[in-house]
Amino acid sequence: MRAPIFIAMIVLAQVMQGVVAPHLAVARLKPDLVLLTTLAYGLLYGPAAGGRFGLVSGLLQDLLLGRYLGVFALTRMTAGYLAGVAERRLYRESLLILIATGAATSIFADLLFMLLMGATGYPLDPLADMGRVILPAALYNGLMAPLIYRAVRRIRRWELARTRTEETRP
Amino acid sequence: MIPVQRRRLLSLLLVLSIVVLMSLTARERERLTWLEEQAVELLSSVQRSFSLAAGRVERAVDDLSGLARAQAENAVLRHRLELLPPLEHQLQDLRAENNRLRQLLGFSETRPFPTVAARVVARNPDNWFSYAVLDKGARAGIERNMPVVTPEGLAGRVVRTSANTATILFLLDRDSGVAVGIYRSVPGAEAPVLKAFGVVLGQGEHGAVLRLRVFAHDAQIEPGDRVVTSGLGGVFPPGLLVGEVRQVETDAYDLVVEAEVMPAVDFDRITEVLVVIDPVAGPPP
Repeated sequence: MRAPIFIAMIVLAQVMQGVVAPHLAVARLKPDLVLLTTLAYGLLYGPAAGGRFGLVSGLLQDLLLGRYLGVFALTRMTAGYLAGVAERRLYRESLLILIATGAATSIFADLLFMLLMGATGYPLDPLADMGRVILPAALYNGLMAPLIYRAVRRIRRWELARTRTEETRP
Repeated sequence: MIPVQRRRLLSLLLVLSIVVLMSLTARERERLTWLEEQAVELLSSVQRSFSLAAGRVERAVDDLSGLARAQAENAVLRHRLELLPPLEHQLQDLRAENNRLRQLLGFSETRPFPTVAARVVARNPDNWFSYAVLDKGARAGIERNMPVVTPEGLAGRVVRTSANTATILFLLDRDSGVAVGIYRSVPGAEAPVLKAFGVVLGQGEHGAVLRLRVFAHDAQIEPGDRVVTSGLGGVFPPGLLVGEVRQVETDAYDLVVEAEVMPAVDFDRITEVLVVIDPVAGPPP
C-alpha cells in the first residue's frame, strides 16, 4: 500500500472513532472502528501491514489520553498481525466468518488490554468487565466487522485497479 | 529483505519498548514531551474540525425534523405573545420586590468561581477510559488538576494540558477519586445535615454510576442523600454537587459502607464545560 493511502486510512479511522462512534454507542458501548479497520487491513494486506497499521493507529489513540502510552498500540498491533496470519486460513467472503472474526478480535484485544493494564495497577474487575464490556463489545464489533471489511476491501480494489492502470500505461 | 530471525528480534524489541513506555507513562506527568504536545495539538485540531462539521450536520438534521414541530409551536407562541404585555408588568414588579428583599436580608450577588468556558472536541474513543479533550489549554490559563464543572455539578478534573488543548478525566473513570461529604435534607433543619465523609470512585463509562465508600461501619447513609465535594482531597473545592445516593450496601466484614451514586452530570451529553481556574477563591459563603 502506498504511504498516502495508509496515512489517510489511519486518520479516517481515528476521526470516525472520535466523531462517529460516540453517535453509534448502544448502552454507552461504542464500536471499535479503529480495531475493525486494523482487522480488515490485516486480512487484506497481510500480517506485517496489519501490524504496522495497528501500531500507528493505536499509538495515535494512546496520545489522546497521554497516559499508559502504548497500550492501544500494542493491542492493535497484535490484532492486526494476527488478522494477517489468519487471512490464509479464513474464507473472508462469508458473512458469518467475518462476524465471528470481528467478535474474536474484539475479545482478544480487550483481554490483552486488561492484562497490560492490570500489570500497571489500573483498577479492573475481570468478571464484571467481561459481562459489562468485553462480551457486549464483541457482539457489537462482530456485527460491524463486515461493513468495515467491505469498505476497506473497496479501497484495496480501487488501489489495485489504479496500480494496474499505471503499469499498463506506455 | 530483512531475514526472518532479525525481523523477529526487531518485533520483540518493539514490544519490549512499548511495555517500558507504558510503565513509564502509567503515572500522571507534570509535562508532556515536545513530540507528544505537537501530536496532540495536531490530532485535536483535526478532530475539532470534524466534530464541528458533524455538529453542523446534526443540527441541520435536527432543524429539518423540527420544522413541522416549529409550525405548531408557532401558533401556540403567537397566542402567548398576546398575553405578554401584562406579564411583563408583573415581571417588573417581581424584580423590584426581589431586589428589596435581597437588600433587606443582606444578600450579596452570588460570587461564582473564576472559570474558563471550553468546548469538548473529542471524547475517549474506547470503552475503558472516560475522558475528553477540550479546545482550550495552557494559553487560556488552564492547568493540571483544575476542577471541571457543568451547571449540573462536578464533571472531573484536568489531567494534562498543551498550549491549546486540555484533557479532562471524568468522574466515571476508574482512575478518578473525589473526597466527599454526604448530606441529607431534614425537615425543620435550616440546611442539609452532614451524615458522613467518604470517597467517590469511578467505575468506568459503561455503568455511568459512581461508587461511594465510607470508612465508618455505622455511617447512616440512605438513598436520596446528596453527595457533595468536601474539599478534603485538596484538588476539588468544597460544595460542588457530585450526585445522589441510589443504593446502599455494607461489605462482608461490616467495616465499610458502600453505595451507588448517580452522578449529577449527564456525561453522555457534555458538549461544553467550565474549568475552575481558581478553586481557592471558592463559592460564596
